[in-house]
Amino acid sequence: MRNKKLYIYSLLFIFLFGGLYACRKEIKKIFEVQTQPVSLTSINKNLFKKEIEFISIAYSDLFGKTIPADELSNSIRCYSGSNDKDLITVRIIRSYLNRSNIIIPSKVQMLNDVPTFVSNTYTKFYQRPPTEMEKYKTVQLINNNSTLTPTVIYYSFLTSDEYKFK
Amino acid sequence: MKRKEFIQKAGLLTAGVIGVPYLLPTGRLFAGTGTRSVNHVVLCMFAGGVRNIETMQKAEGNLLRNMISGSESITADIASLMDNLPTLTNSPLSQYGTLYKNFRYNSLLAGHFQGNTVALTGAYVDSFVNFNDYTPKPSIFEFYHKHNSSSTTAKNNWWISNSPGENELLSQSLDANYGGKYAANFLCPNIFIPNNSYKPVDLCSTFGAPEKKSADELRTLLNNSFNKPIQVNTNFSNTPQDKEDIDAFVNTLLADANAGVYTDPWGTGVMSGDMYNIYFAERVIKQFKPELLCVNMTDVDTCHANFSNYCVNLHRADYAVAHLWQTIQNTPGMKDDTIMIVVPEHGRDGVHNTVTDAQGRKGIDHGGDNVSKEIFCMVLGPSNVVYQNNIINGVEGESIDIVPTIASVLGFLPDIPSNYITGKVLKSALK
Repeated sequence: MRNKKLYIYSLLFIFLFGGLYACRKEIKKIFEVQTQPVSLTSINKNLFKKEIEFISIAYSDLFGKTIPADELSNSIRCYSGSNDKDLITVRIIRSYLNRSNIIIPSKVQMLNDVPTFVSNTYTKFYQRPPTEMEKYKTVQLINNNSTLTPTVIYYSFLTSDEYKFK
Repeated sequence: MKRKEFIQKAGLLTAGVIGVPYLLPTGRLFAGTGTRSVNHVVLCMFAGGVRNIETMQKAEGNLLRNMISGSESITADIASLMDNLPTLTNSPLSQYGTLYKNFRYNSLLAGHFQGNTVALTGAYVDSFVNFNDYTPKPSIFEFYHKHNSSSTTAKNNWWISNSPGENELLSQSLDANYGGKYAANFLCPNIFIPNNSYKPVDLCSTFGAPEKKSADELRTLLNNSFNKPIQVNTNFSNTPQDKEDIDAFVNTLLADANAGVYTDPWGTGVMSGDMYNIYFAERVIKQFKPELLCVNMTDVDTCHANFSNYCVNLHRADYAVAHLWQTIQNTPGMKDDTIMIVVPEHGRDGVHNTVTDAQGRKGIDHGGDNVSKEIFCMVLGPSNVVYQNNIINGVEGESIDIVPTIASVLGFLPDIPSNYITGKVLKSALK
């Protein structure tokens, strides 16, 4: 009799909890690795330069002196003429690069010592030396591309993402 | 296939079919659901606060001979100051469309920025207007850009203003559903006109294709090393292709400045600020054939201190509008496929102020009274779309009707959520 009771309770237990287990939502366990973007450097620049600030810094970097008041007011006037500020920035940069009094090495000077030119350029515009990988790749690019003049290289740095931040 | 898998896949497929059109770069696959009457609209804000008393009622004679009919002679003291500008069209412009002689700007806030805001957003503004931030309500530019075909870019969408500053703020709004992504190209062409020490030619400098390619290659390498911080960017920016096209256009404008083309481009012997602004709007029209272009004029605002000059500038604005219409009709692709709407942003007060000009005429402000609500509106276009030589004398139409009218003729009015539209389509002008 006692065994029969135990048998019935066992059956009830199996039906109740076994059924519950069977109805449980299937849980798929996925083990993932959280991806972290890997950059060549740990650059801590996260403040966007405003237009006037950007152009003032660019002027200083290219001409080695503070932007004159009339130059700044002309730039402000240009910015006020369009809501595509990037377009105006690029135009102003190109106009600076077109002037004879910018401080820039000649192509011959650059080719005499490309690694030093690359290091100096990174320091000038990014305020940091290049990593070995950056230096290697940039030197390679310059050595393999005759149209990469100092002016074109400066233009690339001045219009790059990193230069827009401080 | 298991039941669970079937349900999952069927669900994904259904969601995909519904969702894919909205995942496309422009946010929509299909063109506006309405029917287009024309493919281009030009809106001209005329011209810095204009009273119907001097325009429609011709209190000083017919100052708008290119726009409206009538040979009423101009008051002698004013006539002596007028430029010798020719009549450009065989018939007054009003014959090419519908003229609402008693249109309304139904607000007592008669400021230029407020008036422009009302015309471009289709909603009246309250007394607090922020001159330092984008408008809270979306503009016609954003409605157009968002609710048009997937090929729409900002190159089709222009706001040509004769002054920088707050007018730029009307190119996009703070509305979460619209904003910079749907902005118009704002251009203030004054920057191309040399002024004191400012020489726009300084901006001229270009790279050849090989150098540009090399620069792009190096920039890509540099950008690969830098993780851009995630920022909410509300700034407007053209697509890369549009940037190139607009950059080339700017090169041409600057080269023309250098060549002295802007000394007297219309050969009239006179070029006011308003005329220049219309001239550059015409350059945009010829270059890009935009589907939507808005241009403003404000020179008549000298009326605060010089009523006679106000009349002179009305005469110039009249000539400029006719020139604009003529340019549209001479531009293949826009001829007979464009509706042009001409409307003052607001009127001027019914009473004079105390400032007297050299002719002994007293100035008029636009502080906001019932007379400053009285304006006109002209809707011009091809005869199969717009009622021709149609003069509406009664009080009909108001500034907030401009936005739904433009949206209607360009076929995207049904796509704009109804809570954004407060005005009505100017049906009495359209067939």
